[in-house]
Amino acid sequence: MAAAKQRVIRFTLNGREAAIEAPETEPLLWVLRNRLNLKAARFGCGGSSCGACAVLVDGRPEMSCSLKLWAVEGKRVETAESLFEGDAEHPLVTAFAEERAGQCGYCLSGLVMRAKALLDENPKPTREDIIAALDEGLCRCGAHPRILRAVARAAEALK
Amino acid sequence: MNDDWMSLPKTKSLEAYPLISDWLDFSEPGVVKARSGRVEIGQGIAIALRRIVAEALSLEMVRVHLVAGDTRESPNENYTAGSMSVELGGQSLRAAALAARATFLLAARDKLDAETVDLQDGQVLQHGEETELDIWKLASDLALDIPIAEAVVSRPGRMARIDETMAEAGGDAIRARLRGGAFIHDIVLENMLHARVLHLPHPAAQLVFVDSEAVEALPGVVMLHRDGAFAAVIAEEEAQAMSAVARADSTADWDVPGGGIQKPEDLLASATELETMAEAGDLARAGNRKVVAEFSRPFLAHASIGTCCALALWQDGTLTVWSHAQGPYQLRAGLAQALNLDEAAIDVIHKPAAGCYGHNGADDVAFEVALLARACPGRPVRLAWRRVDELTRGSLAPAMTSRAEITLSDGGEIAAMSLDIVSAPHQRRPGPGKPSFASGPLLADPVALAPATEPPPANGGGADRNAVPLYKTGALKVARRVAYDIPLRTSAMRALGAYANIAAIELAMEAAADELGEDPIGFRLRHLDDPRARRVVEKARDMSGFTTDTDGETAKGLGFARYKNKAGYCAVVVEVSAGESLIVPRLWAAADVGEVIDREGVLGQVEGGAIQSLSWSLKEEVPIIGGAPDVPDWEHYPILRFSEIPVIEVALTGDPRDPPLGAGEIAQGPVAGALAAAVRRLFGLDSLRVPLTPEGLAGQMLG
Repeated sequence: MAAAKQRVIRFTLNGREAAIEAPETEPLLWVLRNRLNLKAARFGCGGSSCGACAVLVDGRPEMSCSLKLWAVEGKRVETAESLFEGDAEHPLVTAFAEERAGQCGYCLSGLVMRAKALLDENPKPTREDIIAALDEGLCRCGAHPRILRAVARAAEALK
Repeated sequence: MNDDWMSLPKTKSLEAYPLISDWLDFSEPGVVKARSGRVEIGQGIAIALRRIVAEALSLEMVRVHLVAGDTRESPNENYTAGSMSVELGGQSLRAAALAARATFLLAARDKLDAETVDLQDGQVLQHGEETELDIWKLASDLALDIPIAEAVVSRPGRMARIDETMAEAGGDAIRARLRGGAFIHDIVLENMLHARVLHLPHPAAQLVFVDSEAVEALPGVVMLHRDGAFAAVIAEEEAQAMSAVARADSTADWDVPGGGIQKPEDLLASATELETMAEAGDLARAGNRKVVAEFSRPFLAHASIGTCCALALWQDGTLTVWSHAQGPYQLRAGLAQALNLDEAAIDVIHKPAAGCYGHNGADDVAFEVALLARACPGRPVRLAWRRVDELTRGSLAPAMTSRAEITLSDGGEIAAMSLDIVSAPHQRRPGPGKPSFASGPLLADPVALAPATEPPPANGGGADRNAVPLYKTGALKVARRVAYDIPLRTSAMRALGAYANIAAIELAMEAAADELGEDPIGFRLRHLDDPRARRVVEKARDMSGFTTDTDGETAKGLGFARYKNKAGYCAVVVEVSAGESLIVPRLWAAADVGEVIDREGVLGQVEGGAIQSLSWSLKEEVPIIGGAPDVPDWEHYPILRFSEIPVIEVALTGDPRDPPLGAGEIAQGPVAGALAAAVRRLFGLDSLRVPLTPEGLAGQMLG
């Protein structure tokens, strides 16, 4: 089996230019976690089924476990780390913290990015909108009601 | 200082670790290091434990650093299980911190030659003014090897801002998880290797062939480690390990026992030995007015969102393991025996993983990575399971059936109740003398699993957990048959047998109320003396606007229990709606866990326990094919999603003067009971088998 082609892939990562030299077929998740030490996106299934690895690509949620590095060339990638800037934080972070929206918290960074994609596009979501936006993401601890409340709270704060 | 003297809590842990210095360390100025054997497994215990120490010492919570589950310095408090962490671990730390407070105050009074002194965020106050003393200065002059039990302790005043401080600590825990880096999966050690295990198609599979040469020729692969049927790839990078294991899987030839689908009842058929777990009065004299109900559940997976993970370093004959196991000392004992090492040569360091709901694969993956580290001495190895491993390699939650029979007296009292339980075993954890790890039997030189057991009645029992109802029953008998020799590894999952037993009891209570033509909640209350029990039932009834009316499509049901008959009380009402599939649009819960240390934590545990129980009840099942669990991915093991969860309302009815009780396992049984009651009201079924999928329910309605 031939080794995957190694080359420099350029994309925008959390607002900054990134140039990564890596096998172009390497899943974005491993690039983020292991080459860039960005640990918010997490491995859950490796098959686009759970959403623990969700990040935004050009503003839309994508499962980074199944997305090859070459597929984000020239695109805009956002991870949950982008919600923190020094002492400042995105209203979604504040709302999740205030609602204690999470138990183990493993699923949260994927879910919060789905929520961000929703709020970026629809600043006045209904409960049904929020449910639809998060529904591909799984949570096993049963923090769903708090997570739904947190997203609604963040939408209020962003008004 | 007020002189409101109080007695200290007593726990089993304090007998083994009686000194202040066993629990608390003040060597770093500004910081109090609190040691606990109770570990964070996604239940938020770290926050509750930090609050307990902060309050006892009148400290800001940020000063309290928790060192939990580290065999280098934490006390051995056995497993973090059974919802005992606040009750035991928390009360132990509280006693230690209160004793430390008393010691500091005594020393400060001596030094300042003052009658009244007080503490505020570590500073010693005299007449409300700061002095030159603080607890760290005092600690440096004191030997804190002082028996906790000898301290004369006064009750600390209520801390200002404690609710705000708790909210901040809770919020910061969420922030840490959003930001990344909070989990064992995120640990990066210098020179670390990455490993993946080959998919094991059957617990007793034999590995006939794997193309080691081809796999080891792949980029970055250090080795394909093979020992009997245990096989793993080790690579420089995680992405390389993933590619290599996929290739290894595709070349592997396994010898697996054949066989078709095996129903849980077939697998449990080996359970023949009848054990009587409780017996009171004479059932035979209770009469003949009987109702019977039955509740069955299949095998379940823990199905955490994160997969099991561990790291290990084998160096100069010593082994260091980073693990999310529930019992770090128990893991160490099991590892020592399985690896033929001295316990003193092993350190186990706990780091949190994704949610743990019982005996999952944390110990198993730790043993596996230790085997791999032994093959690569001097380099740390990190092993993370893949999704298929997470769903199939660890222990399953036991399938079980609980049958409840109620005999009614002429006066409409419960004259007798009996439960007959058939179950797979609930305990197979590693520990001293028990080197029980999934991969042990696979090795060329096998390490056999210790026989399956059941938790003793003193710990709440296993299959028989909550089989004795809190209701007044007249005569009572609980008998169980446990399939100890079942060829599947099953072990504890949240609530253990309480889930099915409470459901069976509540279903029978519904049938009995129907038989009498009585309101089902009134019937329950008539058989409940305990005022705390009555309060949660009444509260759930009132919150939900409970009614037995049904339009044939929606109905409400109530379920109640006191977990283990000695822990938290919980009553639940669900509203069930039957369309194309069964859904639960609304759920109300009332809970009494005594003193509430972390209100949002308790509410979250009840909500989460309720949702997980609904998920088990409506969707989950691990099919067994030819003796192996057949759930390779989430498509084969769906769980409840955002679009399927009810709107939930939880009320806490406890008295803060009652001792604090855990909340993580109080809702599961009552939710199953409430669901069973509502489904019975809709469809008249006295025998239910979950999951209540459309196909599952249709099959039961056809009989």
